[in-house]
Amino acid sequence: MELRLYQLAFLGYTAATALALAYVATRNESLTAWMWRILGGALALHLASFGVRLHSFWQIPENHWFLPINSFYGALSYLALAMAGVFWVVEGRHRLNILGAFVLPFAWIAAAGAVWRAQVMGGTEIAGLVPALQSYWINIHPMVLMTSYAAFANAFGVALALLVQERQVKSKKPSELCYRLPSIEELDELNYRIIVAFFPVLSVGIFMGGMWAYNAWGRFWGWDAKETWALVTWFIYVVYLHMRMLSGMRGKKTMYVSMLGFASVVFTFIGVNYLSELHGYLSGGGGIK
Amino acid sequence: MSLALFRSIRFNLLLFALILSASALGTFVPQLGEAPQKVDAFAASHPFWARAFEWLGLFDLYHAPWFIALLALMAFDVAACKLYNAPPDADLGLPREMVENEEDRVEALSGKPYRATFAARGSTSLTTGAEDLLDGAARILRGRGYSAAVLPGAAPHVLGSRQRLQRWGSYFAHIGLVVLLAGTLLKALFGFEEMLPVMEGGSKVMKHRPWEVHVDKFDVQYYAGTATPKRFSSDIRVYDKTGTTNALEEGELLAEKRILVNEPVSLPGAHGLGMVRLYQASWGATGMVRSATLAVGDKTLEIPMGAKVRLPGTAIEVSADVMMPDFTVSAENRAETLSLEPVNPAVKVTFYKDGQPTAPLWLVQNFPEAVFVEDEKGILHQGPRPPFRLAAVDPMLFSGLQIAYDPGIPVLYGGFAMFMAGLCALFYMHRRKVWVWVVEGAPPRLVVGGWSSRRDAFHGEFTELVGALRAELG
Repeated sequence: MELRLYQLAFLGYTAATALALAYVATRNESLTAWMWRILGGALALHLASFGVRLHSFWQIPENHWFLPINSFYGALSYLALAMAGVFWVVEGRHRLNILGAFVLPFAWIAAAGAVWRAQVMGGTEIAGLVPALQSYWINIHPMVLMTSYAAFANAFGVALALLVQERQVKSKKPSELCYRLPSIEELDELNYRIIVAFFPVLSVGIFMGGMWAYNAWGRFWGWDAKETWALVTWFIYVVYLHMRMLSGMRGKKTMYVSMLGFASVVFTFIGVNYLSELHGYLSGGGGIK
Repeated sequence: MSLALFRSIRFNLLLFALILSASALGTFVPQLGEAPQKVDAFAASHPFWARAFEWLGLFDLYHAPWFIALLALMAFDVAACKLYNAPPDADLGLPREMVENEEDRVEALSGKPYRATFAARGSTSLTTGAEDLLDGAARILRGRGYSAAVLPGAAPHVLGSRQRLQRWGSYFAHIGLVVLLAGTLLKALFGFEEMLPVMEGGSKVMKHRPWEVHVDKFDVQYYAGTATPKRFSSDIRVYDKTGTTNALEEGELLAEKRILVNEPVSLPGAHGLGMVRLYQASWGATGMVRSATLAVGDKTLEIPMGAKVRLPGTAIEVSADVMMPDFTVSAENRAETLSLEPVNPAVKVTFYKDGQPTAPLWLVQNFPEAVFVEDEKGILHQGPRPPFRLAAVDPMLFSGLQIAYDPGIPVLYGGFAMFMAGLCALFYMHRRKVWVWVVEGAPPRLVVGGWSSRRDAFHGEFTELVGALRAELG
């Protein structure tokens, strides 16, 4: 049931992503209108699937009230939900049409990653939480961080759009795409707005991780690979913010830093699983040595 | 001293990049604190690089003097930058360009994004008229949520501002981070961490405090059919041994509590700063058994610790005292354990015929067909399958307590609260300043200038504001 609902949601994500990409080629705004509706449906299905998973997850008494994001599948699935959700809200408010082509592919990749974990690796199995994860913090710390990750994916998409637009503007024969993309200034501002809004969220998420670690592992900060990479991500966005706010830089250079920030997010989320036994989804997470 | 170097953006970006790269590097090089066995393995396979890394402190990178020095330098730079600008961004009545350009203040505003000029209501007496106009402008600004006042002087004007707290944002955010770093320094200087394995029913005195920790009961439960622990807990008592004269005297009871993972017990730290906390961190087998149960046919036989139990219907007695929690046979054919977790328990049983012990047998719970006879030299030999098997083991466990004192925690939390307050003010508040003043003439003109902490986000409001001023005063 859970998997069936999730598969349907994934179909929806795929259709929405395809429509968003088709818009780039056709400039037909009814495509993005449908994209937004289908995406809304996919989000609803995804939420329903999450609800079903929650129900079976809570059958194990120790898991009760805790969210099922301790597995890689659960985390990827939530990440896709958050990315698509943030985009859905942004698109609903600003109706940028073109943005979907730059953002939805990332949500789709996360969603497909969850499908891969579920179908190929059999990762949907429900298991009891290890004692370190039996804490209310599991409902807060990863959620807060993944929400900021989802927002940074959106910012990355915007940065990508800016780079494309800049090429268009500078080229002698700008294609139609040029007229469909928002102006460089608008994209630059949007990228900045997203990062400014979610940088505090990232900071809080990291700090909450420290508070949890202080409760569970007996130290606030331990330079574990996940912690270190979260800090690296944080630092990159700090550099971005200073470039913009202090040096008044705009455009390409700041976009590269913002994109580097998202690359670091991706590494923190996926790559670190192979570096940290303490903090990885693949080792069950939150294990005690 | 202006500390120009330490305040330069280029220098600090370089410093950031260095800290960033070093932090990232540390996640790829095995670290002594986290995985000492991996460091050994690396040293064995890459002797040259291992020596180089060792010399550079890369195996304990985050505690290497040069890394700490980089962090300290960053804290110094941040503090230097912010203190240099303290109080932050002082509120001048007029923008700097206008103060400097006394000749033509209107000209000074040209090129600024927020400015407007319009003719004011005609007035015969300029001095009283100007005052009226400024009062009126201040009233209109106040009506729109601005705090506004008429500032007299060489160029009387109205200064209105909203959400002025925003200017403290960057200041608080940065100083908060320095406070946070100072908090981590407190731990490094005055804190401690120690592991205290205590056997169930036993007690131990801590290294860093004259406190004796008793573990009255240790309990571990697994999820059915798995080796995943469901919960583990210790019932502990902590006594302060200060002033006691012998080991039997208990001293003052500081705490009596069941501790679990995520639920440590907190005791007051030095000088009321922070807490000494006792955590349930791990557990392991001591190698002793409380009891072992043999299955003989369809009957079971429990052998308690230190006892000899007669096999039913025979004159043979059996005892079981030693176990291996994660049994394996070593390369030298000796009994060995791979870990301290009771995942593959084996028990050494000794049989007594007429009170004389025979060669002991190792029975493995998970592999009833495997039996090893141990000779006098401790060498194992495969034995014939006996008519009984090891049905259950109740191992004597120790509770792994981790004790940590971090006096910096309150400072750390305070610093972060300051950081977040600053960040929210900086990013989520929108500071706006508006100046209005009167230029002589007939009729006099009103000049309005504005400034926004969000560059372009003020246009709508500013236009509306000018509209309101023009409607009433123009």
